[in-house]
Amino acid sequence: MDLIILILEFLSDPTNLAMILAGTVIGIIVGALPGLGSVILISLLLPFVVRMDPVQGIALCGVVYAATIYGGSISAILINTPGTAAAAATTFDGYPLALKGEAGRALGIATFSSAIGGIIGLLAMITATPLLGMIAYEFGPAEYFALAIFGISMLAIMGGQSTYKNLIGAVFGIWLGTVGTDLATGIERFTFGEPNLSEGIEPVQMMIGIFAGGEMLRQANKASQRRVVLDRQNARLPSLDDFKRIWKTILRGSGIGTLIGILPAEGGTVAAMMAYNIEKNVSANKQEFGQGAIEGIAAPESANNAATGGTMVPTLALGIPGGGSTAVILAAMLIVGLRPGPTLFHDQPDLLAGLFGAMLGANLCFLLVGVVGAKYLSRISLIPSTILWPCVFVLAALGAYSLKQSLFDVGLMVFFSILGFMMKRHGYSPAPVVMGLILGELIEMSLLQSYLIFDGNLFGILQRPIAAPFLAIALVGILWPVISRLRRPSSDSKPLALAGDDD
Amino acid sequence: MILESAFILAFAAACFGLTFTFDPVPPVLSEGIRPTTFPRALLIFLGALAVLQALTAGKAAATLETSAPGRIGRKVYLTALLMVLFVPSLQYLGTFISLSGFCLVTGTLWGERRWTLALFGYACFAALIYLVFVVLMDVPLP
Repeated sequence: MDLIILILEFLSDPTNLAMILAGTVIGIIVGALPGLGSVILISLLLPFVVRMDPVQGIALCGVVYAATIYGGSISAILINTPGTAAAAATTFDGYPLALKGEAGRALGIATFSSAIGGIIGLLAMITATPLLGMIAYEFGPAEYFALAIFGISMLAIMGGQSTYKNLIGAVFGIWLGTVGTDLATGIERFTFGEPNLSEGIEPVQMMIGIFAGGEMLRQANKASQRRVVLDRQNARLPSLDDFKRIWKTILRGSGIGTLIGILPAEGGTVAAMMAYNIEKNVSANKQEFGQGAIEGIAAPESANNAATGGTMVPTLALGIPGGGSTAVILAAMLIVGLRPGPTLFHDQPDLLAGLFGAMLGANLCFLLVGVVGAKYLSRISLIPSTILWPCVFVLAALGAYSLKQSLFDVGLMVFFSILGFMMKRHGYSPAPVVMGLILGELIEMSLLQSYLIFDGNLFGILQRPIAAPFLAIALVGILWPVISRLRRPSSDSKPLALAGDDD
Repeated sequence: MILESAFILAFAAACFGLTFTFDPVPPVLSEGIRPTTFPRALLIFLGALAVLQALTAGKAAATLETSAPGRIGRKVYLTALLMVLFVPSLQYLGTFISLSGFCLVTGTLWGERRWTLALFGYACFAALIYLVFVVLMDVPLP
């Protein structure tokens, strides 16, 4: 009851409503721009978020996360290019339906399914997060250490590309977290005598560089594409006949999206693909899939938006982000002084209320903005990359500068831009590096504390009933490519290539 | 893949060597895990992962390699160079000259020839930067 009052309080503030509207419009615009996405947008927003009220700042991150995922469907339907990785499955039937001259119907179904999926995911978030938080109340340093290792190993195993590449990225990220002054002894590590590094590497500069700057260099390597927007029509909400055809699909997609989202390391891209494939198998209109089936739009759109609420559950309750976007949101929380975990809701009940209220508002808002404005917002996707990307880089550089008014930070951002490009080129996803950097401090601190608790015997961690299974699963996961290779020589660490950085 | 793993191994070894150059821990603080222990453990793990990656690199890994894009284009090197040059230019030329220069040169490098559109776009962007950073956030830009 208290939570409902807090949500209503949050939503009754005109400043918050304006923030939700502005965040939704910006999120949809950025989501519709191929190449940009929720991770880059939230990274670029970090310098602004740190100057806001903490609850409002995190709520804004939630709003743009939800809106960006929806925005990806607009360009998927109208220009056959998904604005975000999570909208890739929407192109399969969205574009063919638009080609038939029914772009408005396709946009309407995507908008409606996204909103319902998003709201179901949020209901799961507000129910499951405190429950998971209650379980985590008993957690000590050993459990947090095991959980962080588990989270990283899951991201490595299921996060696309190869397990070892992801693990190498994560360990590199944790190592980056050791750069700077050791808090326990005051000894400087890997600073090379550079005073700017004594406080460590700021996640903001690193994330802005590795995601936004790295993507700019990737765009430079691509041949410029000329995009054409199909037959611009107003989005039309589903007719009664369409609704009868897709309501079960939306519920199935929302369920799949929520569950996949709650799993560590999974997110909207995997959820959308899975929902699409399942729908294709269970649908009575199988033959229509790929040719403009409305179920083929409703399933991925409900799933990827439901996953936004799901991915927030482990992030908020345990401080273990599920993917790129939630890793950046987690970093934002840490920067503004909010420590995710079981005590968060006791200490800051307004945060969960604000985040829920804002994301709920965003889902309702993009239902409205999508129906009225999708036709106009689709024009945004035509901004030439020759104009867009230089501006994105300058915004990223000035954002990095603005935090401490330090040009060293801009240089660091440029370094991570080049590193991010090189890593992605060689198949190393940036998300595990970011997750490693964020969780690195937690891992080292909990290991130090465990060492003291168990009188110098770190094997004591393995005697803890919650920590031991997490570490065992993580170990099996890490060794899985070797095990599977021994069992079947031809089945190497097969890339899943499903999860994108946008999840 | 072997070359990649060798590079990671060399990086881990170099950083491991650097841990021997850390200042000594004062005796009062020498109990518990030392500041070198955790990074060393990480770097050993990183090296082990690089070795495992090289050992398990089979057909699937080869497929991954071939799916990677081809050569890095000249445009990428020049864009990276412009990014690097943008940092000192902020200090010596100021934000708005650097911003305009970077956008114009990068846009031209990427093939933009619609000068009116580009100049209008960059001018709007510069105005937005001024509004957001200087007026709203009160950040003293260089």
